Amino acid sequence: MSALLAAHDLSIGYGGRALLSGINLSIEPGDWWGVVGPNGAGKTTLMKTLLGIVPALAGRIERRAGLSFGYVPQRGVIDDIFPLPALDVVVMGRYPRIGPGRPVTRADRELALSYMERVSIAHLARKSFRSLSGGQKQRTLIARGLVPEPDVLVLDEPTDGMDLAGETGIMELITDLQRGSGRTLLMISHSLNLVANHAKQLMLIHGDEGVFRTGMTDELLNGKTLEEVYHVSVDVHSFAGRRFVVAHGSPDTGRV
Amino acid sequence: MKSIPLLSNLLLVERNGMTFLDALPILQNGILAGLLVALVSAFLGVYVILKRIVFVSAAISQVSSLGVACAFLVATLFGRHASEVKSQFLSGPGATSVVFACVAAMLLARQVSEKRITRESILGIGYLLPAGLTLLILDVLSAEAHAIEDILFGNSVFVSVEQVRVQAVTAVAVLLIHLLLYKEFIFTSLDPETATACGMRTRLFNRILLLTIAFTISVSIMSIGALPVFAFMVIPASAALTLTERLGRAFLLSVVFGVSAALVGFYLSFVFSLPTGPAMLTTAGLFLIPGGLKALLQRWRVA
Repeated sequence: MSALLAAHDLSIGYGGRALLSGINLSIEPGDWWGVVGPNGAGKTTLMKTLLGIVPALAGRIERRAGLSFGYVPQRGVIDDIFPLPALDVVVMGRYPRIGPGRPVTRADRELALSYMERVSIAHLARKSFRSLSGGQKQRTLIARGLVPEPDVLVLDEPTDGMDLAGETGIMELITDLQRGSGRTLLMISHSLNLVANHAKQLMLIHGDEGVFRTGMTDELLNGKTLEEVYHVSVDVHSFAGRRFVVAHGSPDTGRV
Repeated sequence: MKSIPLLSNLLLVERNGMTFLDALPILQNGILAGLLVALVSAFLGVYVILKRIVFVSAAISQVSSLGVACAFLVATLFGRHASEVKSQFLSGPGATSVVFACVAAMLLARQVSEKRITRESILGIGYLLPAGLTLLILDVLSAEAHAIEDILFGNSVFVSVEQVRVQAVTAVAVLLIHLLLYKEFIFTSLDPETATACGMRTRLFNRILLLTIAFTISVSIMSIGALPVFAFMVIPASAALTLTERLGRAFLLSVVFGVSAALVGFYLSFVFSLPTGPAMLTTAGLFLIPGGLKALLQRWRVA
């Protein structure tokens, strides 16, 4: 098996109700996937199924022996009631590797701190996680996702609710991390413009319509395909080496 | 001890012709049991508050009480007397209480779809139905209700040596499990999905954590009663979590508050002839004051 992770005729959903079926997918080492689709399309459910958080309803998932995952959830899932310094949150990423009954070592804490440095928040190590800004929390969770040094890092809406500077900073960080390590990345995003300019591969999902398309970003990112998924007229323009996705409104009402 | 002025004043307070020091040999089992319950419950209480499962612990204590009542009901149906059942505590009501509590914890640990019924409703039902059934059984067994109530509601003053031993073994076992699985309990409580994605057996750890809580509740309510146990699970941890930004310190403060409340509450109940459980509960409430003052001070500074 050359792929890190492969799905065969996979069916995803909750409570026995299928959201999307017939998913076939192969993720190779060094891939950088953008996972996009409308709200409620099944993006997060698919990622959670691949990660083993949600059971598959049917089909098969093959994982290469010893494959490890890092996961960066949406920052809102971390309950602010926990009084934890940012460093302790990052060190948690090491816990599965340390194992039950064994203490966290100085080496684990130093590794966590080195990843905090990598995402430019080492100075916040002793600060309480709940007192951090949205962007700082997101960077803390990215450091936690990286600290087990996983083969595959999955990020769920890492720029959700951020301003332009925060969004740009996080995307540059993610791209730098991928370029530097060759690590496989999967990133769920609502923003087609972000994904269009960073991800090498695309997963386009629309559960209600039974749409699941995968391919290289260059090939898949065109008006016709996006119209199929989003049901709006879409143009994709290139300017100064960057792609811009522009929506024009419902295709049957004509362009606005 | 009598040479230390303040301590001697405290120990020699007289009530009904007996000083606290004289009464100590009679009260020592009750004090020991109260301290052990406070220590473990206040420690576990930090998880109860952080995981937002306060009413899970309330429901477990009711189901545990139902287990005690059922043991008496079944024994009575087979023609045995309540005092006989009470004397075989560990194989009778004690065992059914623990089994009922653990089964309830496992059922409440299950994830449910909240489309038709909310988790809150399930917890409400899990509290109310066992409470109603327990009262019905007590009514049916009215002739032997006193013996059952002693176990159900606890009698912190006169606790048997056997009960103190059970409480001590429970405390050591629970704290040992928590020492070994601290990292796992914290990660799976803070962010269960990420823990699962990273390869942790989140469901298993969540079940073990709930079982330690259920086991502690079922053993403790038979020593000091359901209300003080619930109070020790909620109040010291709430007070501690308002005072610190470090989780380790929250556990330590919670245990210190819980043990102090048990000790001071027990003493006050002797001095003022008050019921012990409510005295301990009210004393624990005093530890909420520093956190409240801190919050007021912060609000005042911001304004």
